[in-house]
Amino acid sequence: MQARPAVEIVNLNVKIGGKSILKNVNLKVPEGTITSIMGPSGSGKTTLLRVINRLIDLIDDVEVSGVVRVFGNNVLEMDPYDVRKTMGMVFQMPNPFPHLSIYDNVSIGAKVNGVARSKRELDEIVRWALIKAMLWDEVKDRLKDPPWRLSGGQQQRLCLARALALKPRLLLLDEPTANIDPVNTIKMEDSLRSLREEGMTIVMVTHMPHQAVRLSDYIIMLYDGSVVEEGPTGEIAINPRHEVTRRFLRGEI
Amino acid sequence: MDTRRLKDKIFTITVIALSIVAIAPVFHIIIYVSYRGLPVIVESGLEFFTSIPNAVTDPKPGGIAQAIIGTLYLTATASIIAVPIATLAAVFSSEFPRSRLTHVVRAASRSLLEVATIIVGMLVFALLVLPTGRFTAVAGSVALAIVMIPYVYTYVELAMLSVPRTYVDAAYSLGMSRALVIYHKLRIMRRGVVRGLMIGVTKAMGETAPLLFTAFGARNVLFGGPLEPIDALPLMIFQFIQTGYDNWIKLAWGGAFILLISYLTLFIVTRVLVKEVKY
Repeated sequence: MQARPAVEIVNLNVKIGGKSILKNVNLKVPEGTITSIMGPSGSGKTTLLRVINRLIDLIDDVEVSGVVRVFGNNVLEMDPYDVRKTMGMVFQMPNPFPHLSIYDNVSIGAKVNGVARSKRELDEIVRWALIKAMLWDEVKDRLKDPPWRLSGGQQQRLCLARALALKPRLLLLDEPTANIDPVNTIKMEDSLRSLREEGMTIVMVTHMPHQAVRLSDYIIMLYDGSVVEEGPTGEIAINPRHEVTRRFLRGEI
Repeated sequence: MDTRRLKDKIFTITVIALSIVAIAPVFHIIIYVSYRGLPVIVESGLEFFTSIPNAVTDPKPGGIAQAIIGTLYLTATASIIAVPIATLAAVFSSEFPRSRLTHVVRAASRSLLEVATIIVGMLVFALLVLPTGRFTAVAGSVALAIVMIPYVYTYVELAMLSVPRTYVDAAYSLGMSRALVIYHKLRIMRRGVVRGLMIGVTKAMGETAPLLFTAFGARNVLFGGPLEPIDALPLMIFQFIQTGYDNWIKLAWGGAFILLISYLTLFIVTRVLVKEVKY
């Protein structure tokens, strides 16, 4: 791995309600890349993302041990609210805030975290985030509309814009295209490629091997709470070393 | 007609018929109370809203201003006491569902919902009326607040718990504080929250039993102050309807009509003003 790690996880163990979800996970996510975390359902992919931005703290009866460094800082020792301000997250289901307009959905994170100092700056951030999410042309004339007037795919891109408005260096995506149509999936992927070109580090959980191969530079294979294989996408896709990876790529698990 | 269509038709007709049976009592109340109450108000005119009741020997019934003022005062003050307490308790319970305090608050609220409201009246009578030696508006407000709290608590907690988890996660993922997340949850579920508040308010407006031993009722002044007895519409209706005097029975029906209109107005206005959040 050439680039320095944006995320470095050492000996991470997570138990929820006494049950081990992540077992001694060690991994590195290179800076400025798209890294896919693959694995079948129940392998701990979402839990891993939620440890990185400390959303895991919202669950009762959780034990987390190990080190999770994001750009050099161990997030497990930081205030979770400060951790979350520095990274964006897009969830599996489109979840724009239903009581806010399209504009307010995008601006809310920037407003809360003081990313913008004036209304003009905020307008500029909203515009930038919507352009980056490839949604600007579709909504620029109806920014005051409620989000439910958008299609599911547009709503998901709105959620991407909301996360981008935080101006994060790290973007976490939890199966972002699992519930949207192919056209919106392509737009979303184009958007992520463009963000990578600008130096953003993207960690994407997916259970779609084709998408991981199409989009990512680096793949981490998770199975039953453990990392079974990791490496550049080309290597993993062409010559997977582990049987679990082979079976996953063949769509057997 | 094939059997499937016939079954569908029978089912539809049954559902419509049962729905009509279910809402028929509501329409019966509205029509009958309007039939008995509206002519009284038309007969008395403005005096109905500005005067106190006339003597039973008077040819005209007079008005029920003291009861209207009393109900407004008692409902407002009870809401001022109950709404913040119940809302904060509901927010706490929804945020910390596994806390021991939540279990205690929920159990207390359920018990209060099931306790006859006259018991609440007796409790406040023992705590506030006996020690001071007088019936007061304050005692009435406290009794109504105790009646309101479990209703507001239950509905607001239910509304808070109904916020889909994914919005909460999204809010926290943006770095929002817990207070801000709660604020947005309340906004997302504003219809449910307002519904809870309205049910509490209408409950307080319509209660008679807790006021019998606390506010007691006062028919000779419009408003004597918080440390004097005070009248209220349901109290006045309850007492006047039993008197056997024509004038006062008329006032009771007029009061019932005002109470009914107040309920309908409250529900219609909040329904129009507080829109449901679509998602």
